[in-house]
Amino acid sequence: MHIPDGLISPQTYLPALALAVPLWVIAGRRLHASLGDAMLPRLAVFTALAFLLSTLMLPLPGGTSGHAVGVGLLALVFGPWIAFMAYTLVLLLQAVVVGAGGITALPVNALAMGFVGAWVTVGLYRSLRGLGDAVAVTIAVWLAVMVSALLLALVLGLQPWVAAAPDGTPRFFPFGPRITIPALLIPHAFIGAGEAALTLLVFRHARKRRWLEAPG
Amino acid sequence: MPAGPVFSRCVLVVLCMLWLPAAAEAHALLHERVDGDALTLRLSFPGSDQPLFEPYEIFAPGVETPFQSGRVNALGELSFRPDRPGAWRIRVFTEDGHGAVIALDIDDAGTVAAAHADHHHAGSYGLRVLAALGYLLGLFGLAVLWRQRRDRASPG
Repeated sequence: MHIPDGLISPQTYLPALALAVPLWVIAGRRLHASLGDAMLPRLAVFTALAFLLSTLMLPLPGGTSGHAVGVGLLALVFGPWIAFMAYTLVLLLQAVVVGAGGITALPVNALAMGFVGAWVTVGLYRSLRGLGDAVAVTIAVWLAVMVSALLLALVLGLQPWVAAAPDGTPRFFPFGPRITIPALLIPHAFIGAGEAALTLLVFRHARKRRWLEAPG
Repeated sequence: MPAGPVFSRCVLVVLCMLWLPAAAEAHALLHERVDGDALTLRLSFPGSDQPLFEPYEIFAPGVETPFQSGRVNALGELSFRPDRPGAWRIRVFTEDGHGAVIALDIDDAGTVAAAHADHHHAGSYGLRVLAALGYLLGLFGLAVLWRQRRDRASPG
């Protein structure tokens, strides 16, 4: 789901950076305030798990590949702000070391997957908890993956209008939302289902072990 | 001097003069224009960089010796004209370890039915993932050490 460098225009990633920086500052302060000796190793392990989930590529029909996001689990265990901060670290390492995603695209990826993904997961989980944990976690994580995928599809699909040459030729990503939205949403509907099941499994274990740091 | 040998030498010289253009023709590189549809691929790295003048090799279906080899042009493009249908492979590698193997399925009409590229890096993807995982856990380890050091420095 990561957008790599070169596909989105400065008109897109510079405003995204301006939006992401204050959110990173807030998230950093929240992380610093809540960090404890017991929490830090757990956060390390869960961040590593999110990193692995979002790094292992699943081949998809058409020659492309997809991967899980992993931020939902972080959000359910540590809360959305810490999840956003930890997932930004995941995206940064993927861009710099693995070559997945990109530096200029980092704010867009972090906002769509880290911030929105985490808040949608937690918001839906809290809203749907009356239906039972299994239902709430499954729907929350699946919808969070879909919302993140939709956001990134829109960011990509709007590039031909955001940045085009005088003759109308797209300077960056050439395909519109009619192509990007199904291209991202259809595979991630299946990926999200798998991620929801895995998240539920780990979340139940974390709750049994009293590892949950997020209030509610 | 008898006339016979002089005559035969003259004949020999004339024959040699007649043969010279043919010898010169044998060293010329002739060309003719062939009408046919060639495939042109434009190569690029993530971002705007292109592998300009990097070497490539093109392999015909089931053949391990290159059908064509050369260097990517100044536009980051390469062109070739497949002479048979099947799975063609194009291998492009840069000197710094980046590259790709592009598989093209050419149909009977000579058009590309499907394409797929495997990217190759100097370090494999798995090694990069492991390295990043090491950095991630190392960063958290440093955070733990920093907290312990801070707690020791301020026992109150």
